Amino acid sequence: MNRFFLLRSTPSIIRLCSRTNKTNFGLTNRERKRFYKQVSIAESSQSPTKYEILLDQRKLKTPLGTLITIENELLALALAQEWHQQYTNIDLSSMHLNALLNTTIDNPLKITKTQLVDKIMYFLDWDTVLFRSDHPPEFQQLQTESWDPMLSFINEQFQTNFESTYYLDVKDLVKKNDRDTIQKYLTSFDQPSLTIFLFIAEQLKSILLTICLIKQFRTVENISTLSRLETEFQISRWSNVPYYHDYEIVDIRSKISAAYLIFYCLNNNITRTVLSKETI
Amino acid sequence: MASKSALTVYKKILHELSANKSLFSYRASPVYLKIKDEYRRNRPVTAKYCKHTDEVLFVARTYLTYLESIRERQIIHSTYSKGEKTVAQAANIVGLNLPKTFDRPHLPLNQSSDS
Repeated sequence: MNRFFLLRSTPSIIRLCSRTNKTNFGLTNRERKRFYKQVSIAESSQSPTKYEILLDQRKLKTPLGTLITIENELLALALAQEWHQQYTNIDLSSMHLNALLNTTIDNPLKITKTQLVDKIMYFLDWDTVLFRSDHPPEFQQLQTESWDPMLSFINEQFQTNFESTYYLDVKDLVKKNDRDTIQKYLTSFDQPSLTIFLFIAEQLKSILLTICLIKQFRTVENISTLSRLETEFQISRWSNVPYYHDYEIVDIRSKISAAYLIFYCLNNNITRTVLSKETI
Repeated sequence: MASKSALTVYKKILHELSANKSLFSYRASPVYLKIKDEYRRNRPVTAKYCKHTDEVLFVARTYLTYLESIRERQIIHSTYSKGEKTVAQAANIVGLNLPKTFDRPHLPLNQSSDS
């Protein structure tokens, strides 16, 4: 009798033991309904005040189980708002702030800062803005009008000499000095910011456009249009397909704006402005 | 495109926050209070601390873009992800209907044949 009782209860004991503190509410695979009523922020009492997100008194954690602590209040509030906006079902694919913060905190691929800089510099040699097409002449005109201001801005900011080309077989389009300048600029950021930078560059397919965005030269809508210049040109010729083109542009905009918010908040503490000039 | 002024950005952010058919009013959400606070605080600050003008406004615009694009993406996704039409729906586009089918009893498999 006792033996049977023990056998019956062991599965539930095993299940109880494996529920450690490291759950992230089981959000990874299936569709979860909103299980919390209220989202709030808590300050944890350290000298750079860190904020944590509370879903109904339970603290939010990354998929690997670390507590999410954010130093910037605006970012913490934006993240809380993101969780609050999930009406019935939790749609993780639209929560870009959450996903990006998880990646920067967790670093699941264990990428070092030098690896990140190398990846970004690899993109630079084949930057979209540098390779132009001269075939329809209106498109050539459009490229010159839209992308040349970006190049002149970057050349002015960094004293470099980026030039565009119409050929694909040009060697060393980006000269060594320019590469080193950009590399030095990139290594001045810390590793989470570089992860975000790489993310933006992968969405925009261009490092130079990312730098223009970081330096607030153009708005997010403008930059995302510039990165898809050829698509926009073809849309003006052949008309827009809403479920593909519109979807793509709002997707790019949402990802880039989320990433920019995190980048800005990582590199500027919005609430306290002590120094005289921001160098970013 | 014409860049939006601070006031329009503020109004649109409020609109986005309240348009989320949420269970609670946006006034309760802390983001609203924080943004209001930032707006009030940063108006005289920008000139005083030699910040690039409208730097915080850029961040506010970015947040607005984020909220708007999330909402639009959701709309597009729900509009266009209904899947393919069934045969009956496809026929109905041009006004046709599927033919009526009649249920009849199955013929026995081992039909013994005469002769």
